[in-house]
Amino acid sequence: MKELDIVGKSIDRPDARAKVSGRALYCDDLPSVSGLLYAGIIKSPVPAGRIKGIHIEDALSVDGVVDIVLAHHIPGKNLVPLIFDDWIVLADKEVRYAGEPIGVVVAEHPRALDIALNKVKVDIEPLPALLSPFDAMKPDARKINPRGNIFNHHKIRRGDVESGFAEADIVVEGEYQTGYQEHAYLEPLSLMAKPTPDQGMQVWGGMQCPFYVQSAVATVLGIALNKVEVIQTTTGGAFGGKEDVPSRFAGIVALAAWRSGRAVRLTFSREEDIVSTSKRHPSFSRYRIGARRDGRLVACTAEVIMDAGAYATLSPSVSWRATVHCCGPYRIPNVRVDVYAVATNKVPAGAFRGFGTPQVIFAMERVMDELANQLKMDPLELRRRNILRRGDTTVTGQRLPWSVGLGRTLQECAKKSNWKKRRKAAEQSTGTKKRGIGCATFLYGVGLGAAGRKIDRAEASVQVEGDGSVRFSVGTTEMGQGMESVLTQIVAEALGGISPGLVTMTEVSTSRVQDSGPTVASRATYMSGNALRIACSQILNRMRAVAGERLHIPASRVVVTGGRFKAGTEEIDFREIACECFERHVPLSARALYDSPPTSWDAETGQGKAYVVYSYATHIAEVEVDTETGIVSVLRFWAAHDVGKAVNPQLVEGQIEGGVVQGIGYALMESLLTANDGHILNPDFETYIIPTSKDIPEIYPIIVESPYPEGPFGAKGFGETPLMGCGAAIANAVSNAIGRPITRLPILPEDILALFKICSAPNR
Amino acid sequence: MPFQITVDCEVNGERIIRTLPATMLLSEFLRQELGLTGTKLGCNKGSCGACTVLLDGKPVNSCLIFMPQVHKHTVVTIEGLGKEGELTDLQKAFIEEGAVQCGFCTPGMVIVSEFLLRKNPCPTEEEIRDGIAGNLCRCTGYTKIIRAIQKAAKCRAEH
Amino acid sequence: MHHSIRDIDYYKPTSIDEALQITHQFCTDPQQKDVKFLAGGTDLIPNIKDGNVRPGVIVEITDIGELRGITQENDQILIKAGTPFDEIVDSPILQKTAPVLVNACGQIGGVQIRNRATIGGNLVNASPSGDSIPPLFVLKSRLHIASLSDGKRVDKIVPIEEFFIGAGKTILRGGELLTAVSFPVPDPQSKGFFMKLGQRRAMTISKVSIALLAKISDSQIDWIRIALGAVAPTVIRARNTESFLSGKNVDDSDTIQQAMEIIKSEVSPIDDIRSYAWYRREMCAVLLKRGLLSVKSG
Repeated sequence: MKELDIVGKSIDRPDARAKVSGRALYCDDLPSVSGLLYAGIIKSPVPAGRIKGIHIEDALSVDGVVDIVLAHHIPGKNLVPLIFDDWIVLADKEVRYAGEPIGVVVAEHPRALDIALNKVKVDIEPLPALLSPFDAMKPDARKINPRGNIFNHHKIRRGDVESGFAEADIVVEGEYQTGYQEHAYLEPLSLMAKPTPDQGMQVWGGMQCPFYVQSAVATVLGIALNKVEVIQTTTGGAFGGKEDVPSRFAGIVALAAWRSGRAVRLTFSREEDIVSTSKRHPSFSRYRIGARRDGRLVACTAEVIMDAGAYATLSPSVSWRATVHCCGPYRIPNVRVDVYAVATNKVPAGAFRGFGTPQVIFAMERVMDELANQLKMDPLELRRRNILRRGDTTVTGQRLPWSVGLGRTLQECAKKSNWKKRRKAAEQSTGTKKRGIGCATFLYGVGLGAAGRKIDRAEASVQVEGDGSVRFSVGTTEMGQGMESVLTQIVAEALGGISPGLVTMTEVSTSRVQDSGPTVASRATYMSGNALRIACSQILNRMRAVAGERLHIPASRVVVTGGRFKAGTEEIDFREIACECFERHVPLSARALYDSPPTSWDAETGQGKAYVVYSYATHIAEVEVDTETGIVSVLRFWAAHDVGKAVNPQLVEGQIEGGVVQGIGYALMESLLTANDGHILNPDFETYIIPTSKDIPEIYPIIVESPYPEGPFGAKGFGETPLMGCGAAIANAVSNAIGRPITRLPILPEDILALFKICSAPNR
Repeated sequence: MPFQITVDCEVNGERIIRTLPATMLLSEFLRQELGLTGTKLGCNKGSCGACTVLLDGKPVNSCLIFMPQVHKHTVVTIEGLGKEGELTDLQKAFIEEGAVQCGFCTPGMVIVSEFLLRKNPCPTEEEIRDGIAGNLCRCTGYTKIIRAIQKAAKCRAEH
Repeated sequence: MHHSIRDIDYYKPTSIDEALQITHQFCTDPQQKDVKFLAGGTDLIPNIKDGNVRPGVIVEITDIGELRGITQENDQILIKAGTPFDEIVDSPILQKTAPVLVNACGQIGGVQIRNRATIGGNLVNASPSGDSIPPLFVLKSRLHIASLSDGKRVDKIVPIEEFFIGAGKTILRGGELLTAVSFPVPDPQSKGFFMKLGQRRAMTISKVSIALLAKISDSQIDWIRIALGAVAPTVIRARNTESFLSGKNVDDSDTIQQAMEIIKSEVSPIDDIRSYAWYRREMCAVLLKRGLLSVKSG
């Protein structure tokens, strides 16, 4: 491959300057527009019930209150279009979780909101709440959702598990549980809507998927898509939490703006954000795995129940991804997997970095370690013998022709961590501070895969200006992860290695950029990047022709590198050719669509080409467990990731470090509690505990590059993966340290002590 | 004294005298009255540090301060940290070391780090971790923020 | 993020006497408006925002100079109530005479909180998990309380153990202001220890905490004081454990084992969102052991 000028270098982020100087404008920072109104959500006080009446007269008379909007005011459909179309904007007949929006108070000033919200009287006849998926799955359980309480049952049927287990020398079983995880992005959800003179609506906000929001607003208002402009403001973290959720609340804010004819802003407090928005699904898994004495896996069964909350929202997709990832990155001939997404009377769970996979990776990797114990085999060796390599076939029957860097991540991670030595040292640790070391190997299907085939395409455009500066547009978004840098570098490289300083990304507005599909599933680099690469090559070919004329050689022989068109010793700067093209009326803009390569899925057997490509990783955690207090300290963490090609190595490291720390939170401290009355008990940063700078280990990011030929310069997506193996690797390290199996995340000190003591912790 | 109160203070070098509701918070004053929206609100309860500003040179959570408490005091926000339009060495280090992702914690993080380096020009890694512990970051995992502070400290030591 | 906290009377006196006069006036008012002193505000302001506290009047004492500072006179240390934790942590006097207090105060919140939160506020809040309180218990602190009587200022001093009457409750009545906390300089031969367990390593409310001050000569415990946080409605002294340990050999592992059992019987912790009663009880024993190991090692 040609040597790269820009891709592979750690250039400074284009958005960093505005952010360090406080000039970046997040939605709540937007200057107040004239006549701006403020919105406050009327929330259900109970987790389940029938709405008998909503009394708003007293609230309407509060000084400053302009309007109170309820479901029957919706001019279009009371619906947020997503997978099943079961998600309503405002509850009208029934409430299905505590905190569910019933209406919205609109006022001239924010202080009227609290007063008015307290005066709205919602008359609800409570229904018995189903808070556990096991209760909701019972055949005679009340239907929470009109679709029934089991949203999904995804399956894999491969080989014959009975004969597989019969062939096994050792069979291991385990049951595992994981809890909620809250995104805890630092910027709470904020949205603003403003009617336009032509009966349309403009919406601003921090979000991942402006085109989802556009569709929701058009549906709710009953207007055409081209009447809705959605503008993504600087987004203060998302992690999946701003994938589907902004659609619903944008619908509400737009509705309020529609009725009042004025601009309306909704900014959540942290407490409202935590009670109102999606979270990682809690899960319950039962695994059974069989191997020959040499460690070769012969059979695996898994049953997984995911607690989806009251509406399906993204659960069909989350549980499908969990299904594909259920059995890890291993060659297993006989597999049976059943994954259920089940309704409960709780806030809908949704997308969160990893999208259903951290739960099953935890379970699978724990059971793998238990198998290694039974086999008396080093757990990393057990994995080495089973991992997928180039040319192998996954449990869904997909052959992997390329870009399988898993073996190298394992090897590098083992080497850099000095695995064998540390494992031995851990075994010899005595006293009340027990050392342990654990690993996890895993894969991640990049992009939406077969389940999201319909929308897995990306459009993008590139325009070279007459002075050689460049503007590109995509509909995927920057939310902190570094997409703007990555795509800037891809464009700069694809235009012949020009300086990235010449390249600017257009602010994402649905009226000005193309729909590149959602910014989810670690797909922005490879999908938008590919669309941009195609657009760039179209422009570059035209420029090359002009350069060829100037250099008196055929266009095909013009070499473009370092931002210069070259023939022998003669060379012309990119900007000069741009200027000439402009003057000669050569078109300097291009628009391209990149369509995801084909995928397939058979719903009955769970066989097919699930994803176009996979990212791979190995995590190794070293911990120290204080056996008297139960406190776990993660001392060191090695994370080796096959990213295809690191477009910007510093950003890759940043994703690894950030994801690992989120994963440490998931593994060791983040615990969102639901009371018996269906309310969340700890919806703030004082009680929902995420890691601080004092809680982090030394993190060693290791970048492995096994190029993906279809990806831009070999890159494939990976942003979610750094979180995914942490729960598993840490749980394995803790199990190694204390000699007892960890079966539940998060691993709180109380749980560790409960494993040692007779007294057991009450169920969380 | 009734609900309104006159506050005489200095913000980013400028003297400001305003009559305000007595329980207006410093964070509200900065963001709504002065349009200084670099000061962010992540929790509004002193648990996240995003709203950190310097009050008489010391970092405080501006969401936990009523405006009368600022009377006759000096406030510096992220907007007032560097010279006109220029970045400080610390801000530059944040950019160069990749310490910025979503950016929402960044202004508070920069402010608290500035205080740390003024008080302790050569902090150990442990002292840096202690110094920024009141500021939550959900994106970076803190590692590159720590590196940026170390880089700025080194840079200041050399000058 | 908006809070309707506008309708509160606000006063900003410049002296203790003026503060007392304002407060006195409202306490004798038949309408009895609820008056709150505002010092650092790091607890009061979030509580007002959440609606847990709804004062009618705020008397801001943040900038009253005579409420701030740390002094030593002979063997008495005096910390004015409005002194923020960062000044306590940085105080050479306290670093020398009461490292146990310095250690505890250094673990409160983050730097932003320590710059504002005051020792008086921590005491008046009367949270069983207030981290400055266990050290003040073992330092035998006394609290200075001022009020007006017949228009004249009256000061009284009470031992810290008589100050708390329940979770969030103190003996302070309307019109009374905590002005300072004082304690005698501990025996220079004595040694202190503080340790807290939280849900993480910083910015965390104690699930359980211990402060310990002891004088040990040749492995024999001359005297020991132990205070525990977050295991009862108020911070408590572990008196049975103290008397059991007094005169005993600190190197004797049976002694330590027995003390660990005794301390568990002295506490009455609860289950809450941060931890369980059983865990807190167990941890009292573990922290005691660690404290004893720490103080004996000189």
